[in-house]
Amino acid sequence: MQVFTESIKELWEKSGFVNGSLLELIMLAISLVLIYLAIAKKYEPLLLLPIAVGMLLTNIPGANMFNPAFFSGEEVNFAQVFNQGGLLDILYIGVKLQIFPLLIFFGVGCMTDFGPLIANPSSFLLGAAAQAGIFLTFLGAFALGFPLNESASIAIIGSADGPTTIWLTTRLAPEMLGPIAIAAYSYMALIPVIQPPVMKLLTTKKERAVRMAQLRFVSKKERIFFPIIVTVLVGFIIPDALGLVGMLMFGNLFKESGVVDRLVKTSQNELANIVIIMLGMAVGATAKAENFLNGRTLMIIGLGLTAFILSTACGVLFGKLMYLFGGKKTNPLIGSAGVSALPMAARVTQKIGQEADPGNYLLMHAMGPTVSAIIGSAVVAGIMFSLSGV
Amino acid sequence: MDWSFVLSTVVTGLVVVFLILLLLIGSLALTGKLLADSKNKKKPALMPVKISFKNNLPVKSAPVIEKPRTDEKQVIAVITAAIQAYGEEAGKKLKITDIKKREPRDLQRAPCRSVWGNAGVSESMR
Repeated sequence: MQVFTESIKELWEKSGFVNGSLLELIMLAISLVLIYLAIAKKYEPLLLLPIAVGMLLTNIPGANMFNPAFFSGEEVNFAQVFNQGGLLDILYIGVKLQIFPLLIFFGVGCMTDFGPLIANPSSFLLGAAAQAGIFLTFLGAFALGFPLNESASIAIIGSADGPTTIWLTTRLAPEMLGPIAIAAYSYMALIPVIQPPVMKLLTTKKERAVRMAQLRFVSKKERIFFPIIVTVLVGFIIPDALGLVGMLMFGNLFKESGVVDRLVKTSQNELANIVIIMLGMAVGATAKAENFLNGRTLMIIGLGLTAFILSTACGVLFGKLMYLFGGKKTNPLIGSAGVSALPMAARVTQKIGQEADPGNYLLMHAMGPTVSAIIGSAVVAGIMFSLSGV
Repeated sequence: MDWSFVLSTVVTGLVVVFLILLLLIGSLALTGKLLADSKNKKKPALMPVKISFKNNLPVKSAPVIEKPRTDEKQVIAVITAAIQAYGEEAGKKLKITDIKKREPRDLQRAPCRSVWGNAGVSESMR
């Protein structure tokens, strides 16, 4: 009987009820809220649900499924990770070594149609203009006291590109990965709420009703040359961006070649899904109570929202410039699609355009800036990594 | 790190992003032009295409409903446009040499799998 009592006592002392803290309980509650948002409200569930699950697992006291200490030094002791680490430690290796974000970008390339961009290359400028919001937020974060590397990681939220955000943050400020990733994916889900007021504020009804000319036909050869040209050009100018841009473009080359359909289908489905599960859980695991529950997280959330708003505003304002100096043929609304949130940003443009003119179809025109922003945000991430002194 | 470095980072970043994307615009325009020029230079051989469009409706057994000429012309126009679009995509120049209407019983003589059926078979066989 005494042995039994001792065993129960030992189990109780090891349990989460004894070893837990209030902060961990708060994190568990936050993870449950995120799970609710992902399932009930369908806020980017593909990534928010794995992130929320990772957050839940990592904050259960005593489980030690993730050990940030293994990854905090200059060099990672992989032998220690494999011998002493938990499941989430091993999954995090894919994040730390940049493997998961790049594989996801490969899948994105396999799913993306760059036809609207090739047909209307001026969309590139709208994608570039929207990236100005990232740089403005970078200034704002620095002004609030964040060092360069953290300012860059916060500012990249404005790209509305999950893999790019994770890629840059892992390299520049890995300790902030949890709150930054959660902010990024939450705001991506809120694009239909965040963007319309900005779009309506900066445009007139007459401008929103502009009908654009039909896009020209894009040949298969152009679609095949495009990813090769982009990869080589961007790789030569910003080698640090080659990982993201190269994987995106070669995924697209696979798709457009038409000769590797089986590989494309695997990349679009099985590969992307497996990587999303592992990436999401590993990213969520970094959101431990001591990293997440502080004033900086609130500032990250506020700055992330600012980045989204500024990116939208910059894109729309550049769209207005193109409207004014381009013979009033460009609808300024398509500038708001210069964030990489594919395809939500383009759909929002379509919706707002149709409110002004029910017969106006802007979806394909808006896809040009959106896919351009995927390339633009990867370039910006490479530039920020090169210039942020890390 | 001082503000001058931060501001120079921002300006450099913006300039480089726009520069890269402008270079991409130029490259795409050049590529499009080169591909269009090479297509025009080749002068592909004309491939005659026959479309059967023969009117064999019986006169005694059923009342003849005279279809207006514009219907047939519209059908011909649509088929011609589809063939031209196909030819452009395949890099060939096609010319319609004959138009004959096929009798419905001609189609019944050689039953074949529907287009959807063929697609399903090729999908499974891949």
